[in-house]
Amino acid sequence: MTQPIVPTAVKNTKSDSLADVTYFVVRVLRNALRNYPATPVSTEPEPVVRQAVEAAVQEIEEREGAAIPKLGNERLAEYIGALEHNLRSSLESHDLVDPAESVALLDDLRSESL
Amino acid sequence: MTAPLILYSTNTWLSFVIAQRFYGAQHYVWCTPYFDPRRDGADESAVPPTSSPLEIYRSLAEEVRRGDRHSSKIKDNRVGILRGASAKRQAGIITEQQEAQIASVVNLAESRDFRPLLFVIPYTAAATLLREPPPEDKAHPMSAEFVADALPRTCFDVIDLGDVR
Repeated sequence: MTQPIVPTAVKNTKSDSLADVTYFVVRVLRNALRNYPATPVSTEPEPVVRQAVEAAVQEIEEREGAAIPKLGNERLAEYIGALEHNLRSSLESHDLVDPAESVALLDDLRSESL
Repeated sequence: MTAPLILYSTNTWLSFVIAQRFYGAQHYVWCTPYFDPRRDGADESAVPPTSSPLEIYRSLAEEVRRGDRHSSKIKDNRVGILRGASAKRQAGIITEQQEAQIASVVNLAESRDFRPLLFVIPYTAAATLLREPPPEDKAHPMSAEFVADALPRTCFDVIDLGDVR
């Protein structure tokens, strides 16, 4: 089976909305993994985000020839991985952060108690 | 439905500490009165077992125990944290640089940083801060689920149950 491709509707999303669009597509896939009886797109996001999410879900279903709940856990997990990788890659391009400072910050967070 | 006594929510350690550090200890929480619907005697308002706080805790703990940094649950959580940071930046709660810091920490985080934590929330402490999610977002249209978009740390207890099986 081919590697999942990030849907065009996600790739074409402007950077300010990319996290939102990715989150709501992943939510549909995640809900299918949790065996929800139905996995509609949330009405929570603003219309432009919702349209992109619906287009992305439709694109996945057309490519796979099956509705999201029928994709199987392995395939659902692969799509979640592809979308997560795409989002993280898009955030790596800016240079606002010193990597050494991030390591120190994570260590500092780990030292905190609940 | 009568008001519940307690609400439960499973979250990751990383999302918890990021909210503590960057969002003024205000937490986005999805919760339910049913910790384990199988034990509580499932009725039509109980969440399906696969989305119960216990099952989410158990399955995440297992993936963390295996050191599976590439698990779909961890990837799902990374997306949720990044989306939260984006929303907080757009709301003016954090700066663009802080959003980048959070993204960098999420990139560096190891599987152990995604270990589950159980939030135990007295309903009366949180009632005014809760909303019902839209029906299409629920595990089942009739299931009892609530969302708090900004729940103060003072409104709930946090329990690390360790490796629950």
